[in-house]
Amino acid sequence: MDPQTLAEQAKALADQTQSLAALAADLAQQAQMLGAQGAMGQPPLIMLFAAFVLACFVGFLAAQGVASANRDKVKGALGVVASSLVVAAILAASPGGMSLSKILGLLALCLASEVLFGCAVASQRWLASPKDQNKTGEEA
Amino acid sequence: MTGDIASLVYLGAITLFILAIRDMASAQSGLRGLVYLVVGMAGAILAALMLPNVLAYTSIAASIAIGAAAGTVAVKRLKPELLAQAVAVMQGLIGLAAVLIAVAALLSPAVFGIGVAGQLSFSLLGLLWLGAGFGLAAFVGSLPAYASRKVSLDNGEKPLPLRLFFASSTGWAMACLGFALANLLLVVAGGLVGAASIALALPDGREAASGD
Repeated sequence: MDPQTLAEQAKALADQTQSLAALAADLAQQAQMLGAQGAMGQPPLIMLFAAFVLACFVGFLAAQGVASANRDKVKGALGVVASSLVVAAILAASPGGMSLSKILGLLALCLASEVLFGCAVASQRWLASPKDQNKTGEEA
Repeated sequence: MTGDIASLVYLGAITLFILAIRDMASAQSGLRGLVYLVVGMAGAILAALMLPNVLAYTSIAASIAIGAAAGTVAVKRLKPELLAQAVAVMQGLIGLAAVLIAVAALLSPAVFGIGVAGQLSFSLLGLLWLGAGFGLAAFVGSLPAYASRKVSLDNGEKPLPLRLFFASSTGWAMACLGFALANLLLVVAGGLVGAASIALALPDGREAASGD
C-alpha cells in the first residue's frame, strides 16, 4: 500500500472521528438538558389530574356567586392568573444561543408579561374607582 | 433552586391565586386580593428564573420589560368604560402565547424536558396540539371584543356587552400545556381560569330572581 493511499484513508478516518465527536457532543447536550429537567421534581400524571379537577371545582365555586358589579374585577384577577403562562414562556426562552423555539418563547414571554401588567393595572384602576366599576359592571 | 423547591413555591402561588379570586369578588377586600395576586405571581416568576437550565437572563429580562411597559401604558391610557374590553383582548393574547409555546415545545421538546424532537409520544403530541387549538380559539374569540372596542372608540359610544365564553378556552389551553409539560402551576391555574370563566359567563341567579 503506497503512502498516498494510507494518507487518504487516515484523512477519511479523521473526518469520521470528527463527525462522531460532534454527534456525541450534541447527544451529551441533549442528555444534560433532559437530566436538568428530570431533577425538577415533575409530579406524576394522576396527581396533576387530581389537582386539575380540584382547581376546576374551586374556580367555579369561587366565581359562581359573584355579583355583576364585581365581575369585571374578578375577570381582571383571572387575567393575572392566566398570565402564569410566563413560567412556560421562561422555560421556552431559557437556552443560550438563538433558535426558532427560543424566539417563539421570547414572543410568548412578551405577550404574557403584557397581559400580566395590563390586567394588574386594570384591576387596580377598577378598585380605585368603585363608582365607575359599578356602572360598567352592569353592562358586562 | 431545585425543582422540588420550585414546586413548593408554585403551590404557595396557587394558594394566593385562590385567595385573590375570593377577595376580588368583594369591594372591601379587593385591594388585598390584588396584593395576593402580585406576590403570588412574583414568587412564581422568581422560582422559574432560578431553575438550573435557565441561561438567557438578558433576553428574558428584555422581553418582560417590553411586555410590561406595553401593557401598563396601553391600559393606563384607556377610558374606564373600555377596561373590560381590554381585559377580554388580553385573555386572547394569552391564548396566542399558548399557541407560540406549544409550537416551541413541538420544535424543541428537549428544552422542556419532555423528549427528543421527532420522537414524541402520541399523547404528548395530542396535548400540545389541543393546547394550541384552545389557544387559537381564545385568540380568535377575543377579536370581536377588539372590534367592539374599536367601534366604541371611533364613535364615542359605550362598548357592546361582553360574554367572555372564549376566556374559558384560555384556561383549557393552559391546562393542556401544563399536562404536556408536567407543570403543576399551569394545570391548576388553567383549571381555575377555565372553570371560573364559565361561572362568570353564566347569568347572575340572584339578580335574575330579584328582577322577576
